[in-house]
Amino acid sequence: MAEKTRISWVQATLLLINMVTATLILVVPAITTEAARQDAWLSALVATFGGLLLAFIFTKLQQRFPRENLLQFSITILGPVLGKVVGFLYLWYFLHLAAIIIRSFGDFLVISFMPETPVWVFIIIITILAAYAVHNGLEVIARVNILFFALVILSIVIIFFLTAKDMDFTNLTPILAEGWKPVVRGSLFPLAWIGEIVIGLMILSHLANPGEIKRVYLVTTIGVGILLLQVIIGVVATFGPEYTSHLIFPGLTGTRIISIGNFIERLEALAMVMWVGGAFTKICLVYYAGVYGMAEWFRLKDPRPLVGPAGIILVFFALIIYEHFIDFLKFATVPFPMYTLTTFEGGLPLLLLVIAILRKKGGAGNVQKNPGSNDDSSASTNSRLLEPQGNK
Amino acid sequence: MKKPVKLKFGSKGTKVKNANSYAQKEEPPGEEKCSLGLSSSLEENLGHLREIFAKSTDIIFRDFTIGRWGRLRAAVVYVDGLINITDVNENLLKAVMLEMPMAGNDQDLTKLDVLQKIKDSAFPLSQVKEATLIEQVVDAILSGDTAFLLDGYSTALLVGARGWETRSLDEPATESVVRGPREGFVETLRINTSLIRRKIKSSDLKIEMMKLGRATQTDIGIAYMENLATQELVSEVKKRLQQIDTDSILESGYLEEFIEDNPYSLFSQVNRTERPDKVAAGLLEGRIAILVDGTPFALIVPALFIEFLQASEDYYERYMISSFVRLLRYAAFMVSLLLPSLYIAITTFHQEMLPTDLLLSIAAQREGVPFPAFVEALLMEISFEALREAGIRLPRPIGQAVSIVGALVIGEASVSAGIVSPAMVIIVAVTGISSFIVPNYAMAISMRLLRFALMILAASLGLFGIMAGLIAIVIHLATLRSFGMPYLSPIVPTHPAAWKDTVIRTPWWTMLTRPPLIKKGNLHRQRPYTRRWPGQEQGGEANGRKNKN
Repeated sequence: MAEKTRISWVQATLLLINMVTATLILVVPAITTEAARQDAWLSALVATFGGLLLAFIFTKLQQRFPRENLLQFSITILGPVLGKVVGFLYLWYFLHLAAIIIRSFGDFLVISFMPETPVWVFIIIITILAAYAVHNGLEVIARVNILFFALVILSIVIIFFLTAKDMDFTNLTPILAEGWKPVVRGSLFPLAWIGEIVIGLMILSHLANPGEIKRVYLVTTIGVGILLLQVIIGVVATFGPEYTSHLIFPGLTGTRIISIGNFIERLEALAMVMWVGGAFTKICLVYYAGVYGMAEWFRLKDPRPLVGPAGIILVFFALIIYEHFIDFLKFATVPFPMYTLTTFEGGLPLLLLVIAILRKKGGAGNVQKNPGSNDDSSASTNSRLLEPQGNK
Repeated sequence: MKKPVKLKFGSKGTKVKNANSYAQKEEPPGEEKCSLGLSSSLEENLGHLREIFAKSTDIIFRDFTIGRWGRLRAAVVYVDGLINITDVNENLLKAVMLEMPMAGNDQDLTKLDVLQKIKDSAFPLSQVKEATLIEQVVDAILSGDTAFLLDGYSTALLVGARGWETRSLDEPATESVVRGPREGFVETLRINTSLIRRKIKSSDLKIEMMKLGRATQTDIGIAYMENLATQELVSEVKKRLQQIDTDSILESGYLEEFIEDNPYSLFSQVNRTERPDKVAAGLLEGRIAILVDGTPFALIVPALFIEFLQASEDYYERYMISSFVRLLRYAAFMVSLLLPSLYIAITTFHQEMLPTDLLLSIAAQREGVPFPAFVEALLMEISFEALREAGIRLPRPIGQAVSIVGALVIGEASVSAGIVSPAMVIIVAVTGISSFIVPNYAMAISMRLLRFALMILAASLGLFGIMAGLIAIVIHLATLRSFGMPYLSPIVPTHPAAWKDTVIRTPWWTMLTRPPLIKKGNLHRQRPYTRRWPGQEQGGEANGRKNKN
């Protein structure tokens, strides 16, 4: 693509983690607990392992085409016609995902904070903000995300420690009372959520050092798994499986019960910061993937003129995508994971990978390991500065 | 205290070629003769000059004769008030009128290259330059040089005996410190460059000159360390400065708006300071300083967001105290940006977030207040801004009176009259104090404007509105660049190596390298074992090692 965007592996990893986590932790505990009861934390583990499998597919795929994004290499693998069809399917997926997340963003705010405000207010505002970020490109999204990620992590940690005194870990027993079946069923939804790291295939072609693709996916999946596990354990231990499964946003309810010294109480603001910061990253990324994918599909040099029209489509799509949040929860429990995991997050990438191996397309995973070999200097120094030894 | 100051030649620097040719095209034909060469006839030259300086009563023409028999006619031309009159009388006029004739006879004078002889041996002055174009002579005279013209020669001598009334070195009014140097820049460029030179005694310190402003012909100095500043940055700064084509540069603020990356931003992308030590520190980090004649404010580029929250004193005071002060400043920054809008959002939309007792007390205070919280806050904030503005522009004694009347009397009276609630007065006062803590005036002003925007958002959408506003601000900041450098670095894009001097300041002996943002040459500021003397060896060494990677 025309722009010379380069992001470091830390930026990419934090983008993907924040994209998945911040929205995951508010909704998932309820859905997973409903299926897996007190074993929801095992579901989180199962989902993480499933996520690692998906991450493996994505890594192999991206490593074959380190400088091409999803739409580009599907054309390389399948040829111009079939490749375009796959690209179109993914554009639909990005649009659908973006609409879902924008709508649930609005619904969360309406249900939890401002019940009298119509949902379109939030939808329009957040879409405008996301359009502003997408217009400015991936680097800006990545920078903004680091700040929000710090906020999200801080909020999660604060909420976890402040609710610690209300936790009762006997709520997590008995383990595997009903066998593995409910556990696996409960893991589907978080797995579908983790599978959204397929978006990474749209951004990792901008990685400053392509040798770090594996690291990005590995750290992302494990990081998401740890955060998910921690939140599920926290919520289930606090409320017990029965009550958790009846909550819409257990993570938010967790902040509501915080009360320390009768002064620090009702820290919903933290939950809101977490939700807005994380959901914003997610909206930006999916929006970005959609707009830049569209530009690729239409062979446009500059994707930015598409930002506005895509935003308008997103607003309307988000408004009509479902009637009430409960409908979404029903859809999200089983149909949504089935639909995405078999196609966009599992099936299609696997198919692409198999065909690529059979047709011997792309480099067979032998990506150059030295940083900055074919990057502009600023990006390579950027990635060098972000190496972990600087953090010691 | 006023003292005349002698000045070096300042006009040696690079002329802006584009702007000049442009200027000539536009200016009336009468001034075209400016680019004429000097003729060998003194009468003709003086005629030209008199014509150019017609109706300018401050230009002094003094023609006289030199030589024992008064055969050689000569003249000096200068601007009254811009020259050191003693110098011109004693060392110029006296030298040629009284002492020259003693040295030889007229025979010699007519035979020899008199002008060369005068230049070589008659003027006991260090700055003498030759000029052959009328334009050069006019420029030099207007800049404060004295032109010496001799009959029969088409060359003029420009004698540097500048001296005019200047403000004496004073403590910078906008950046005063408890500990640190107390001298600040003044309005004369030469004094300012000398102040920098006194801090950095290195031949790597380069100060290039250029003139900007068709009418004002303002001297601009571009200072940088040749071994630290990257060539791209230097040429970028020069390129941007050279593209300026305007008639006047009266303050560095003019330049700032011409050269900053994003002119539509609320945030200043160029740092300004009155302090030579701050400029020196910037230069030593590989930045570039732009000094402008006529103003004590120097510009430093590139400027990063965090620098607007740092004061030069942070580096002079003990590091723990500085770090604490910096944390305090960040907190104050957030408070000054967010407090009124948070108050509005919470009291209007999210009352459940307040502890019950506090909520009851606020509700009781607001009992008789006729306005909604937003209007109340807006009223108070606007009157506070008005008070501050009034206090700044008025003479100091009256200004204080205004503050007292405004802050104490009006505040007290409006509370007892039931127009505003006491809680709101507290909020506005805390916000005001916090905004004074932000050390940079430019940033403080941006905060004041953004505060109003956030108040409107808070009043319409509560906490979400504030969050949306913050997201927009953060995206904007992440997009900004200052001379190619991301505005929010080193926070994002993340450069942990530069974090020793951001939110906190680590001790000097741990800052082994310069900030790696501007990379050139040897980044090392000091050896890793600075603190190494008997008894200290262990600690210094350990710290040195630890921080090496």
